[in-house]
Amino acid sequence: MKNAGDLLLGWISEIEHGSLRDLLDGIDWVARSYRISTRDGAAGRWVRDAVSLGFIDVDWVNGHWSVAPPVLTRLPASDGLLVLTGSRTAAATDRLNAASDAEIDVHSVASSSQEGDVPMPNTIMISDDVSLDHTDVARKLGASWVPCFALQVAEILPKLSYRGPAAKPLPGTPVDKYDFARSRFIEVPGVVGDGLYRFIRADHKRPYQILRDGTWRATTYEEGIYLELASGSYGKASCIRWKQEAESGRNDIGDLVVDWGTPLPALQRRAAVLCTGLKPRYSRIAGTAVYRNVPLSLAKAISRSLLQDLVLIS
Amino acid sequence: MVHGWAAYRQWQNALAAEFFGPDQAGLPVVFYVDAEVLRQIEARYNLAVSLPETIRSLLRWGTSSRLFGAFHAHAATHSSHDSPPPSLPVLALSVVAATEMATEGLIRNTNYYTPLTRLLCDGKAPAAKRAIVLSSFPQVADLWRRLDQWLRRTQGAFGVSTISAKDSPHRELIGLPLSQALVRRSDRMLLTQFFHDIELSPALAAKPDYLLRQLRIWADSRVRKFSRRFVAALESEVDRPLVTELVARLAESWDGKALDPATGHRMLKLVLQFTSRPPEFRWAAEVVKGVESGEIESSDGRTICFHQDESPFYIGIDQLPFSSSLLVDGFRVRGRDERHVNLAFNYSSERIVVFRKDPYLGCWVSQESTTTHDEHLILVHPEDDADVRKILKEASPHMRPVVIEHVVRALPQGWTLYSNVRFDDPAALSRALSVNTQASARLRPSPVGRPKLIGGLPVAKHLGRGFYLQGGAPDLLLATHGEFSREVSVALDGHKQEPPFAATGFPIPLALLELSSEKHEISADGHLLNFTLVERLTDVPVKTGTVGFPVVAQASSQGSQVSADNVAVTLTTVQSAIRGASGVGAVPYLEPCLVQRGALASAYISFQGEVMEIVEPKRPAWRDELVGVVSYYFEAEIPEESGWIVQRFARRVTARAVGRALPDVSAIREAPELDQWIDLVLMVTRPDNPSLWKAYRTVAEELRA
Repeated sequence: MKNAGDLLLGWISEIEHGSLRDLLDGIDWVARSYRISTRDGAAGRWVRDAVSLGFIDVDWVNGHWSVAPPVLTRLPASDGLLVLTGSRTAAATDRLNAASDAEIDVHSVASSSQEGDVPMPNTIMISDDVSLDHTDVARKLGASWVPCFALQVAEILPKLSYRGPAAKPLPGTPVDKYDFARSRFIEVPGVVGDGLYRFIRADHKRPYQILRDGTWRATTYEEGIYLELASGSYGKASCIRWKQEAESGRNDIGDLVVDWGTPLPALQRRAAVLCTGLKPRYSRIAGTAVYRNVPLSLAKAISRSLLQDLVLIS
Repeated sequence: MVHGWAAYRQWQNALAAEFFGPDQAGLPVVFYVDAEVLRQIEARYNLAVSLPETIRSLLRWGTSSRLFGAFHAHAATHSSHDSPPPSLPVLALSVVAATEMATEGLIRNTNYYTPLTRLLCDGKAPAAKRAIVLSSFPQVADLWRRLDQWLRRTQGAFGVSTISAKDSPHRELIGLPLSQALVRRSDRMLLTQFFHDIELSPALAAKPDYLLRQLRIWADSRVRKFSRRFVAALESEVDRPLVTELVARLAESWDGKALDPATGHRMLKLVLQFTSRPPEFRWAAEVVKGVESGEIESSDGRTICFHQDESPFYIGIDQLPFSSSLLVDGFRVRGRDERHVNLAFNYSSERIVVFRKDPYLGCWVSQESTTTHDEHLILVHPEDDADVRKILKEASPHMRPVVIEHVVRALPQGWTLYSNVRFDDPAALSRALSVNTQASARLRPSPVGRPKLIGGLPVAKHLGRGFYLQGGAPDLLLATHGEFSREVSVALDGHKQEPPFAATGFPIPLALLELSSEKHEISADGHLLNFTLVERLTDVPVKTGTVGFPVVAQASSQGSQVSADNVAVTLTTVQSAIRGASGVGAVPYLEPCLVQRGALASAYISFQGEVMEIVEPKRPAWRDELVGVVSYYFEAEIPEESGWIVQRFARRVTARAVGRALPDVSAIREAPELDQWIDLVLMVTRPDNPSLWKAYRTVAEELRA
């Protein structure tokens, strides 16, 4: 039997797009039916990781998702590994099997799965070879060839900025404010000073907004945190760190370490995840997400786009 | 003072206006009249003579079987197409008699004729008079049939008839007034809520027996809200056919609106939202068809506006004031919709309130009943606390009562809030609910009226219902019929399930059966359910990437700069965007050079005589986890110009061409690493492009010479 992650990827690839609610229900259903014991929020975490791995894109505001077009791309500094991401229908799996029979070196690799999580789809990797015509292989797999998503997207990562003006919360609305000392939102009696807030608006949506110098501005959860850090009000931040890999001869390749309290926005996360094609390692004890095999140039581009100084650790 | 026919005509007009007015057009009309309704009509229409008195003055006691002859004759001569037959007063009295029948025990004919005779004889019912009433009653029955015919002839312009005499022959006649006396106005309003809750469709309305089964389950927890007579009729073997038909007729002509029993206004159910941080209750109301917006007069004098958007709940209802006493007493408030039609917002108090997380409101919302496998909060009145605690302990071992001070303060005095309530174990829940109490009835998972398929991984919704991806077969939910652990005979594709499944309100996963991709049929309780498993649908992506991160060109000091947005949106047109790992193709990228691992030494030599040593790095540590994925190469950065990768192995020296340029002899001659360059070229035993290599070898030999 297929693993639960592959079953889910097959499903979303066949239906191609839909409402986020239905997707979350489908993930919960698979977990329940296949007796996977989950912790609260498992479906949401699955969606987040599926976005990072480049399988789907999610419009959170309108509660809509779509499966991504299939892409074959290179994992940087990986000793020649290509990864196939995006949509994976039954027909695509047939093409993959045919390619595998035709002596293309295909591997199906499981992402490590934490206790309480719904497994992710297996990552399909292809060993590169000097004789391999990438465009042709991609075509045979029904995918398009992108030379190296991680390093290419690094060049066009957006620089953080506010998302336009926003209305202040209505009087009496309960508000939460982000507490950087505790790395989470804390309920506050009302709007108290500049900062990152979230609340439930009259239309039942939950916006993230920043109050600075008397002006309310729209933002998102992850961007809001980095915008606040960049404002300098919280001292010198060191939430994005990079550690050189110990191996000799692999200069400028290392681990990108990000605190849980300051998660990377979606595109930065995808750039870092598509250095291995696997989920980051989450460390509960350290409270960090560790993205491996990240070139220093990408780490710098990510921190630059988030207005952060990259901290190099030895 | 008016007497005789003058009084009769006044009653006729009043009853016609009350029950058969033009506003009744198309709606089912139940001519329900009891003593209380009579008093209200008397007052509203200023009627000086009571109805029984009016009728009494026109009776013909001198005959043996023509007591109602005068009415019969009057109706025959005064009928018109545009107004109800002039028999309403006498028919109304026959209904009043039916409402005064004993409600308990076997209903016998005498139960009916005694109260009728009493009404006709000013409170007494001597046997002789009763005999005359009995033998004359066919005249009244005839008047009933004429009213029924008139309602049918006028095509519902004055209401849709619910008059019925479907019954055993000996009760046929009294069945006519009885059909109008079973359902009070308030019962009818409650029935509209029932229709609303079961999402009544024309198909369902056509199945009266099924409807009644559902109704008995639904009414079970609302016994105190229906009239005693209606509840008794639901339980009585004798009355059931009549009730069934009546409910079916009401269902057939139901207009989709739930009505408030007290006011008759369109009802919108208020539900409770609960947030734990801060602990707070607020009102909410689910969106109903046909009401887009409106306003509510709040008890504190404010006017609260509400409207609809994509959410399944109205926006603005949470502005209604809340106090914990409303939880205990219930809450009703009036409003109007956008067309100024009256609305009633209603919360019926409950001693056990079940909450479930609502995905749209993002908080806890009160529910009709519990569901399996979902987390609940249960709020409990002190008197039910012991029962509830016992059940939860047994069925939901993880539950814990919430005793956090600040949460308790938001609750009514003495009430308890239980959190972490989840029913995952059918056997444990079955044991816990085996004792029959108010609490066990309330905590039972939502009754399932008929078997159905839920969950699964549905595909191809545009092709119709019932298609699922292989491996994603839906769950089977069997009808509980208000019981728990009922054994149901189920067959899948003709194969009977042994031992039989128990209907517990828990879904039975069919996905684990590894069914083949074809059409499957389940029969359960005489219902047939079909679903089709498909292995594949789309061959070519059609609607992938409808969401993505837009990529836009932005003017900057260094010219135009391309940048992606950090928030994915639903893309409306053919927009340049990052979808998954696509959309970065235009960004320039220098491909690395793959160099084979395991060589004793490796170098790059260029077509112009440069030499660059290549050091083989260790294998990337993270790749150790990729079991079976061997790395034969490493990546090297080499200059972006033509040359060769030369590698020395134990028994061979290889050269792999990078680019196709011929050697540039003059540049090579000047190169600082000339000797090394020549050594390397002359060492090679296996070039991958022998014809191009020949040119290099020739140059090297000439230079060495």
